[in-house]
Amino acid sequence: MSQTTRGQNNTVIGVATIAADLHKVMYIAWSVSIAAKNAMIISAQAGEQARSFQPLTRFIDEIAHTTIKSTEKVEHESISLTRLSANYLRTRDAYTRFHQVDRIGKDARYRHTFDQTIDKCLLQLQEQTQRLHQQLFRLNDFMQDLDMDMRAALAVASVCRIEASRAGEYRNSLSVVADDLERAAREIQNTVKEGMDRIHQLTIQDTEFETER
Amino acid sequence: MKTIQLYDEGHQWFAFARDPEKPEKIIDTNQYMVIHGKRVLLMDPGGIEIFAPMLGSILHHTKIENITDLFASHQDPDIISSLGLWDQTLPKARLHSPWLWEGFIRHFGMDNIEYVSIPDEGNSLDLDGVELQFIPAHYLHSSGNFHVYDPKSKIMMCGDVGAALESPEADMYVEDFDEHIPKMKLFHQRWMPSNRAKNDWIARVRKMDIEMLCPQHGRIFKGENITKFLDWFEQLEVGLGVPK
Repeated sequence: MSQTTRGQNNTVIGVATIAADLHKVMYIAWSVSIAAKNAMIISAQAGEQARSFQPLTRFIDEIAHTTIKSTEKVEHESISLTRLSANYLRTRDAYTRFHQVDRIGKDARYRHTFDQTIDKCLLQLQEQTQRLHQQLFRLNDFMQDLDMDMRAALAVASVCRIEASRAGEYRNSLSVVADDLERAAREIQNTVKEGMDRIHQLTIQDTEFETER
Repeated sequence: MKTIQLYDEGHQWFAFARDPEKPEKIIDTNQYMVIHGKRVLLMDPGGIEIFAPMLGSILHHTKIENITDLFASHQDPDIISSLGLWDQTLPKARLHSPWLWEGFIRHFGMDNIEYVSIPDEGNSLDLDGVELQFIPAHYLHSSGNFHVYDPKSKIMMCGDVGAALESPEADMYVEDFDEHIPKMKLFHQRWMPSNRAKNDWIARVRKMDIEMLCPQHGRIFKGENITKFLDWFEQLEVGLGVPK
């Protein structure tokens, strides 16, 4: 497989992998939402002992829902990017094969009648490359927002842990909620970081595909 | 890619085959082209891998804008997987192909070219006064399958019927029919599924006036080798993929 072909395939595979990973993030966010609902029940049972914990449970639930919504948006974006990169791959392949025609038919009487097709394909390739880069930047921005949300979630987890320590006999149950929230936020952060690294690699690779005509 | 001119009286027939740059593991294919003035028909234009040598060869004989019509005898990749590339090259062309395969063939990528369905009973294409008939050849081997017959030149493009598996250096014409049989036998026994369809096709073709029988793989039959082929094919039992 040529380096160019490998690069093109990596673009599609990389974007598809990001989409698949983001789908996993959604499941993690759902589990946080369930944990938040459990915490609400526990803190209601705890009554006065967990008075300061109760508003935090609503906050955790909000974080979970915001994460789900953001992830849906990012996932949608990455699926559309997968489609775009597959189209880009097709155009790139066509452009390579059109150049082969140009080489093989260099002495052909009517070779010049093919020029317009190559030029049109080049234009299409340039447009798709530009769109691909724009969408990669957009996806990167979405990922950065998701990362910020997770930083906020980690801060909430710390506050939860402090409030859980004041909840007497309910301390352990509520600490579990804080632990779950922290674990989920870190897992999502890692996935987002991997996704952003992938985007960075794709961006670098794409700049290697300068059109050669 | 080798180019052979088969006919040149008012309109022209060409065969393109034996591409020396073809990837080793893909089957060698014969592509055909009819030129009449400013109209060109490409028949079974081939797979994606041979698109470049094929078009590079065509441009020796005609302008790109003259290629107005494509024909795909059936849906196989070696017949028409290059469609996505033709679609970008010939945005105003028409593809004539069995109605049965439209939804399948479109998977090769077809945003611009118009799909012209051929009904089961066949029909014909008027290439600026040259009539090219789409002759039904269903189940030979595909369940929706056509051949192309030109009554003026008496050439019949017969798809996978008459196909042979042989080296890329092989001659373009069958010289010794008996020597050619081993190269065709397994292909027909295994790829052709129906004795009934085979005999129906032979009966129809025997009534036609044919001087050249041009398969999509292997060599072209001329003169008495056409009758020899029909006789041989008639006695051959096909559909041997399932043990008795």
